[in-house]
Amino acid sequence: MATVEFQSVSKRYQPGTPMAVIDLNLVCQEGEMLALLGPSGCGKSSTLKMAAGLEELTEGEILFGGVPVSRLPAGQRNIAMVFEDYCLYPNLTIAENIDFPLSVRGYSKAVRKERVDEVLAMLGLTDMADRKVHDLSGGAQQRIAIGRAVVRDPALILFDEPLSHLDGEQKIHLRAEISRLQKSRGVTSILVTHDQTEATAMADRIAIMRGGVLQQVAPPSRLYERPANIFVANFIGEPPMNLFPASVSAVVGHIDVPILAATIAVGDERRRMLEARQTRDLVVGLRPEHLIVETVSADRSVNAIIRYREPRGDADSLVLEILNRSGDTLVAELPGPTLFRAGDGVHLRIPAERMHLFDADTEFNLELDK
Amino acid sequence: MTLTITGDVAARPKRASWYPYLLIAPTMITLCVVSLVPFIYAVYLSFHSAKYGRVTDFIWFDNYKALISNPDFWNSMYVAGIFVAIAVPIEFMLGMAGALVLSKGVKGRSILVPLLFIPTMMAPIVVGLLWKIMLAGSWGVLSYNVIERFNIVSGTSIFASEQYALYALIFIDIWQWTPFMMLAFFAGLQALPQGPYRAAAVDGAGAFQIFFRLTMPLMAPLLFVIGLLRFIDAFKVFDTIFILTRGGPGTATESPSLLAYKMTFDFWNIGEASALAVFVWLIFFIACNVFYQIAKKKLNAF
Amino acid sequence: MTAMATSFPTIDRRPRDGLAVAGLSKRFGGNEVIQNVSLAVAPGEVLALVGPSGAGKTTLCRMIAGLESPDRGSCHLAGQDVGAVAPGDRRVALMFESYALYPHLTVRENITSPLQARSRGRLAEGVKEAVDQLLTLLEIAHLGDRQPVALSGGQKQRVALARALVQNPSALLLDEPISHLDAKLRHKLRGEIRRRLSGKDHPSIWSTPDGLEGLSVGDRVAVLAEGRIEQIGTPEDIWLRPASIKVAKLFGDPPMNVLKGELHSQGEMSFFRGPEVSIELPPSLAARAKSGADRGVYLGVRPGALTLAEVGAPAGVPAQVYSNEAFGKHSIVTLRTGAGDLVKIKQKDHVALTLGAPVSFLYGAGEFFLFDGKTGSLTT
Repeated sequence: MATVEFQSVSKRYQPGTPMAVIDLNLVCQEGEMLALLGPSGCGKSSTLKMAAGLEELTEGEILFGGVPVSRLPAGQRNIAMVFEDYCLYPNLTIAENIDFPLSVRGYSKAVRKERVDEVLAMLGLTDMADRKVHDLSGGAQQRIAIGRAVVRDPALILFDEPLSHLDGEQKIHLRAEISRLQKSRGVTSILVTHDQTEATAMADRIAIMRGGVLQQVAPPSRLYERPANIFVANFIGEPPMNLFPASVSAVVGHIDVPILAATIAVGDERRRMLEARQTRDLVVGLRPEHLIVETVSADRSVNAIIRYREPRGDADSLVLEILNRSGDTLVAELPGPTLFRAGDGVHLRIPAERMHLFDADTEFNLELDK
Repeated sequence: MTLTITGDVAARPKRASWYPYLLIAPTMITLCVVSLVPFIYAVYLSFHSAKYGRVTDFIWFDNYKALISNPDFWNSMYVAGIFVAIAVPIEFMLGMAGALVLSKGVKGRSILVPLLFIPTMMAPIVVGLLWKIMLAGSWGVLSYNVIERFNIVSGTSIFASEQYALYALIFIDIWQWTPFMMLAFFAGLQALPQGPYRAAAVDGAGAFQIFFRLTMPLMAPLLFVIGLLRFIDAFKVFDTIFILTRGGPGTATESPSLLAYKMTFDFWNIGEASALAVFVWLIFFIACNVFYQIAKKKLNAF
Repeated sequence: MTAMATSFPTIDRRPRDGLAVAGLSKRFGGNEVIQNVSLAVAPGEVLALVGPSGAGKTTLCRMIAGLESPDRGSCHLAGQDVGAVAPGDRRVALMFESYALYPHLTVRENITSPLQARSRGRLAEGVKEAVDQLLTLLEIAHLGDRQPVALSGGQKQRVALARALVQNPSALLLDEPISHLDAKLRHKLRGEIRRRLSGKDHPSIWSTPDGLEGLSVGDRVAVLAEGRIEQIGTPEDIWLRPASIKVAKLFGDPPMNVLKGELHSQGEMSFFRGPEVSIELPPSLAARAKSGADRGVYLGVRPGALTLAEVGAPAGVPAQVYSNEAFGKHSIVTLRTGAGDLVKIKQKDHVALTLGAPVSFLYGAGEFFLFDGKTGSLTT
């Protein structure tokens, strides 16, 4: 088993094109599942391919357990990979597919049989061992691909969007299964995904990338509770966080939020922090599930009407139009199903302690060190 | 909520069922006129006494009996067998090797590919004449520089050598058809899925393992089809032999097609020639079917 | 604003003016992939067609578009039987799940291609603006002059979606229109497209394997499983009264827990007895329970209705931690019971748990669903 360390790694595919990955410094600890998460084109797949040896580095170095590997071909890095489109060997049976990495590396017959049988049993595929793989469902194919990855006990497994071609139940099922296998075998893993749910469910830590630049690396709960900047705040959480401009108020210990036509008390600690930072222009972030929606007016509440209601089973998400000049909207999520309907008038309250404060210029979270 | 349901759903007008047949009719009619009718006539002739252009009695299998007891027939089978058994595998291997080199992205591929087509594009007559000149007597470019120098055949053209004429023809066939095989395999390689190759690279497979455990099995359906086509084509070889040796010296290079030609136009024994044609067709028919069944089972192709 | 207020049309418009299929069946080889499907969609209505992959959603869409002919049944568009009408003349806009973009045309040309085909090459005024607006909505405005080969899967899907939305069809069929987009864009487009469709005068079908997406976008939801319609109803209906286990398992993140067991009554009280558990049923269910006493039943409990408890807690069911997934606003804990069943619990806060550690959990006091042991349908 090994740690994986990216040292100032950069990637440019062709001269003159923008960098795909810019000065990436990142460590994946031993036995950890690290997710690389970001929108398409953020450089996560390039990073993974460089770790796999399927792409060359433009600059920097990658170390496996302290040993530089950037000059080694993929086959000599002692890694395994699970691909988005499974990439099974279509001419082989299930057992032969799982056996392939062992047999090409010249393992003895006895060891191969033992390992393959063990993996087949673990995946519940023993009865199907001699079937060809090409007419199996996507979920079944991906399970075989995972079996092929773990059979050799590699130092590192790379998962490249492993669930994105699967649907609903298969996805939920396989994601739990991958987590379990990874944890029980303690194998260092890197997962690339564009789906935050997948990353949150499976990873110990998530590295969020945007335009080739690493934004934040942290455990999922930390990303949710303390996003490093506006991009991360907006990317993590569904529906995405409400963001609106604000400024430090003339009233001491308060901030003005123009679109809510409200002045909100922030508490002593934050007052001191804002004074210390000397920041004036802010962006306030509030997660939809933290917004309080009421039918009766309360002190300091904001009037809004429901433009659109989206039932989500055990929750309803509401698009609310604030009754002010510009018609700004907010998204709120309530445990559901609710009795609210489009067109209903409601009152909003902002729980001050749930607010996230960002610097409007740098877009950084002002309380990242907390 | 009301649903509109038409009275008798089963009686809904079916889309005209003759339409697809109309579309394929021109091809089918052409095919019948051009290939089926002559073939049936050949079968008809093979059961009749037909000598010197006169079709007379229905004589059951007499033509076939005569054919089987004719040593020239067995000789022609032997010639075709040797021809196919040497030419096709070599074309296969050279073609595959060339295709692998091409697919590795050699420089100047866009110039190389059209050049490679030249031998295949040449009319067989031209190919024949070209090689006839190059291997002519003892003064042809190759005769003089290679064959004479290494004392393989001296004083005369290699085509006059009972021992080597067939191998010279095989060599020419390889020259003519290897580029075609190369391009066909190259196209096949380009169409292979990339995924398994990425997986194999990570799994640590070497170049040989990738070739024998991945490329060959994935290419199997294509190899099979091309192989079958070449087998049929090489077995029927006529034109280059006709130009270069006319089956000689003696009967050393007399392929079944050439024998049929001689029976028909030199000896006017049309019945027996027809029997030979039908017999060869039967061999192909059985061989194709056997191959096809094997391919269906083993390769999951077709 | 007024358009917003009426974004929940009820079925007061006559379905015969929209789309109506009746008794539709289709067989491929020995498989009956669509079995006696009947449904109606009013103009301006969005019907969410929810079903797992292989349920027949695509086949149903293709039959309505005329690309497959049904073995039995009829299809009416705008009051007209279109059984014998060729696909091109039905004027149905079908967004293919496989995109089916023309590789030799640019994004913009792809989007206008159906209009061009109908207007013999000349485009009406305002089309360019409409296309620009769609490209902006779908966040692909910068890709207008590229060819499909240069696009990612998600971008191709949005081009195919734009091509469907730009038309003014007799019916719009979207086959998994946003499945390959990221969560944020899905969230945005669910609302935006749904609102667009509600303002149109044609019926729309939105097929998806994702139950929650179906609840969000459909005025009504039709659940298709193994070629059969399991239930058609409003999102509330589907959520509160799932007609069968198959329906219940499609909706919810994670889906409902279902246990097999038997009903027993003791005096006034009724119990569900399953593997290692005995649960007292609330009075509302007890009445039903008595009529079906001693019969095999399935008990459904939503993951949100279960709670974790200390080992040995009274009424607690012993189990082992199988997996523990933290999602920020909630976490999902999967437990393995002594009988080997996997039970999922959804809770608001994340609790650190060791995999394999013994815990116990409690069935809440209410929120149970009872399904018939034989048919799997909801007992009422």
